[in-house]
Amino acid sequence: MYKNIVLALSAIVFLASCEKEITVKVPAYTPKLVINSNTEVGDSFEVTIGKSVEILKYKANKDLSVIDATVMLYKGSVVADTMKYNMEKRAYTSDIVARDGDVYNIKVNAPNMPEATSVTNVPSFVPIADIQRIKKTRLDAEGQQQDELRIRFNDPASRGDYYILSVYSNYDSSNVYNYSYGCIYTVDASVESVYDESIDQNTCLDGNAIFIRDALFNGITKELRLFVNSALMEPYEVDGDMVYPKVILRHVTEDYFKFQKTYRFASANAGNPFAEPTNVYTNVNNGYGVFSVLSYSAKDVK
Amino acid sequence: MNTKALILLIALLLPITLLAQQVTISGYVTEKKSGERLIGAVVYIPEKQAGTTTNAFGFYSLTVPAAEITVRASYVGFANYSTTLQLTQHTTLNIELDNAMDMKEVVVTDKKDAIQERTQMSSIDLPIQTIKSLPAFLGEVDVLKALQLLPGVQAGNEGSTGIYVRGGGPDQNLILLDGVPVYNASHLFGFFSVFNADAIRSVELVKGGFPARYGGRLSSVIDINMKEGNKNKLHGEGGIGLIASRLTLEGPIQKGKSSFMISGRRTYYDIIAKPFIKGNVKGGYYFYDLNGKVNFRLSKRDHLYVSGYFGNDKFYAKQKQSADQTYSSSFNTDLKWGNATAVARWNHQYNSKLFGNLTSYYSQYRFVIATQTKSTFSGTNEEYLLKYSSGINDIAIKYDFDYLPHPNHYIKVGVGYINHTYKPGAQQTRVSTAGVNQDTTIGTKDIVAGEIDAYIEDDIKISHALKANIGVHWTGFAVQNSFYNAIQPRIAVRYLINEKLSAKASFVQMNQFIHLLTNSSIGLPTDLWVPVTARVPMQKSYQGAAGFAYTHGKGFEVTLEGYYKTMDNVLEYKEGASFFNAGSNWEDKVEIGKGKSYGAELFIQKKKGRFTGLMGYTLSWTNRQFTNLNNGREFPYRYDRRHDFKIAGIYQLAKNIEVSAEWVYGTGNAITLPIGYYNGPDGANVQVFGERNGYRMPSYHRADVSIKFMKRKPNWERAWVIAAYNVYNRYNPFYIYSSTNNQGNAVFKQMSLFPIIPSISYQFKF
Repeated sequence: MYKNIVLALSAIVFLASCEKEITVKVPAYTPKLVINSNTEVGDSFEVTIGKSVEILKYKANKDLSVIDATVMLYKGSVVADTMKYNMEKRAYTSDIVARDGDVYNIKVNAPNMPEATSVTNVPSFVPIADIQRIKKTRLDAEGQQQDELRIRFNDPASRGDYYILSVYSNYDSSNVYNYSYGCIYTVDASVESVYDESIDQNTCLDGNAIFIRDALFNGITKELRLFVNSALMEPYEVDGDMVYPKVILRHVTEDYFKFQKTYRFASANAGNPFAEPTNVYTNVNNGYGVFSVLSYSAKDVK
Repeated sequence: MNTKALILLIALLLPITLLAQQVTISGYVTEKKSGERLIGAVVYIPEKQAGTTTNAFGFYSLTVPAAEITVRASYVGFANYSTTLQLTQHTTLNIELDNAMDMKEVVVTDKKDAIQERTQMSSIDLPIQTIKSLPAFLGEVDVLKALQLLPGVQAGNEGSTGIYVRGGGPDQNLILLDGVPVYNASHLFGFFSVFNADAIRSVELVKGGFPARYGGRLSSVIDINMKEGNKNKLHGEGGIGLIASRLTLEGPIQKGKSSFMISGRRTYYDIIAKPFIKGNVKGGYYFYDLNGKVNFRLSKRDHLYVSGYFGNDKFYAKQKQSADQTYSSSFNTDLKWGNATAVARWNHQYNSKLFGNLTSYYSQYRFVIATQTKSTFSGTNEEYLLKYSSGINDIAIKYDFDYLPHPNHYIKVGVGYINHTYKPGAQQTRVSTAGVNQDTTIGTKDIVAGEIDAYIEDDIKISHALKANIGVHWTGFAVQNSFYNAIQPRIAVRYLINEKLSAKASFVQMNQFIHLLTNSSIGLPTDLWVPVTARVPMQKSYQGAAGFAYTHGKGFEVTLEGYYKTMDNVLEYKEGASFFNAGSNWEDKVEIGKGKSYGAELFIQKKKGRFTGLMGYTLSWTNRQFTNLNNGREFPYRYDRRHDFKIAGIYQLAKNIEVSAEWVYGTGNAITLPIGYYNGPDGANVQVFGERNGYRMPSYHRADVSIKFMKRKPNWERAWVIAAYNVYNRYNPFYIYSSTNNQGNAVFKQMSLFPIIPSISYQFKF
């Protein structure tokens, strides 16, 4: 009896939440084209074209690709190519090669969809000049040893350069070799958090994407100091070869930089009903996604 | 302010002291049975058409020409008092009023007690007896939830004690307990307030037309006073409910001169559930409140009050395990938050016209979360402690004068200093491995701020029909090597159209030097108070209001008011910001913008008779505008509520049976919904959101009922209260989100918190 009383009290006190499907009158929505481009400097252009749909027409795993679009690529204001749909790559491709400093426009039309356009300036190739690893320089908040990485690269003189840097840590959890991204720590004022929060020495930054802008080091050699868990920086032997942690530096456009920040922000908040909604940045007029070119430089940490 | 206006203001504030053969009658108005002083009782001399109300300590003073006079006094729920005096010199007259319930007679309150007489508008005092008779959620009488029944006041989410007044946020309410600010007034994530109704004597809400004595918040003042304690006889009352029990004792320390009151409340679900929690993990939750007050009459002119409040919420979990003789570990985690206040007030009556009160108080809010793990392996000990704490401390001193030189002037003047210590969050980590210790504390250092407030106001009777309350409040705020200050003018005017009806108008400027980082919906203990900074400036509002006040002969009070309020430097979360990202710099998460709210409110209240109750309707619009939100366009505030209707009634069905019911209806909250989606570069879904707060959740409505069976004996009274919350089991929306159903199709789902919830409680008095 006593147990039943307690169970009844539990039911009342914890007040099981009730969930039900409801009908929501969603405001009228016009689907738009989605352009995504991840072309690297020196490679030929490749873009994927998709479409957005009204939220209530969502279907899990629904293919939103658009394969019957007309995709016109312009170098400056001059038509350079009509991009072809490549079934294998599931993308529109062109023979035009993205050249450092050039300006490219794209115009996409598809049946029953409004025209979408975008423009991008190709950033220059910025290689990693040097990486220095200094072992066990400090302890993190949990008492774990951290290595310091000093990464140097030469920032172009042009104003407004943006970078996304990744640190691929060598990590083994079950004797199976794989890559993983650990927390990265820094107090560098040029580094921005995805969440636009202030960063201190204990802020865990996602090692997959460290966002950097050159407002404080325009046109000079930048030395970026990062702190990484020491255990994650140790090389690992696979089939007799040593595999080292790796740093990748992407020199990106401002549009791509903003797109990636808001895209990651939105992903982090997905499913959190208490977070304020995030609209992902786009540089596509009358559409979504990002049309951009980036440069890519990689170096092992030894 | 130009010179002419300043001279006019000084002239209005200057007391008229040179009238011939003026004598003053002064004293205190108290409840006869308990000896408690009555706040806001009316003292009236009909021959001279002169009247006043008692101050927060029951003091009154009237200066009139010498003559034979009749002194009348009245107070809601008490029998009227009347006496005739030959007034030839300054006279002290202490008045004792009999409680109407003890008199067992119908009381006709003096018309001078009526709302149309007061200069103050946009103010409602809710009798504590009404609050205690309304249906209560899980049997727990709640002062703040009762205030949510008033027009212009909106509840936040289902079941929460959050209060949104005339479009303002929960940070814009100044909640005072015996004059001390309470920074986090909720238990259990906002479902219950910290105020134990058994320890409360009076509750007043001011939502506009603020007199100059109030400052520090934009939108409301909730002034709660604790009982003083019965000076004549020991009394007690208490209750046993489903989740908590409470007990209050009050009585004389020295009969007729000093008294005490002590009150406690605690939940006990953790104790009941303890035997049934199996396994090696033990956990629970409880909250408790303690209120205490003592008061001493030091002399005929001096009175000392000392009171305090202490309350905490605590979640805890413990685990112990051992694999064999070589290994053992333990895990403890505590989540604790609460308020503590202490105040000493010393009244001194300098003469029959001048009353002074010195107040010194301490207020603290603290939130602490601590996790500790210990393990022993083959004789080696390891310990890890992670502790996070945040909070705010205030230490203050102030002096207030009431000066009543003439029946046509009631001057209040005061000055005070508050030392704020903000603790925005510090994290301590202690690691101990095999005798090697490391102790690290990170986080923002305490921020100390000094605040000076000064005010002067005069309630002026310009003619029989026209009264005005004119004043000014000044605040200076020093923090982090910066000094901010604001002069805030206040004016309220009342014009008596006839004996039952008056027109009122007011204009006020309010400034707020502290901000609350909150989720605006749930009332989490992690809500953080922070001072103005270089990045986040002080909030400022202007509010104008006008309306009518009317008292019907059968005891109905009716007010109709319209208001328009602007707010500068209000805060809103940035796109994507979430309060679950604890530990980050709050300034990075917020946008600074402006807001406005306007609307009309109708309020009808019946305080006397077998049937008592209230009805409120609000028609309002509340918007926000931020440069970086919604593309700079104005958007509705989350709690913009076009229609808000509440009705509550209490009926004495029989001598020993009382029934009560309430029904609330409100337009649904404004939320932002996804309207489309697409695939991102890695195939993940990206939602496209419509206008910020562009969608309305379904409307909210709910009915609660309660029946009380009482049994009265000469020295003992008990009651069983049976109540039901959400009696027709409406699934009101808590939040809405997009999801998929079993077929993989997109749907919207609504989360609701509370279905019908019956409760039973037992109450007693002796």
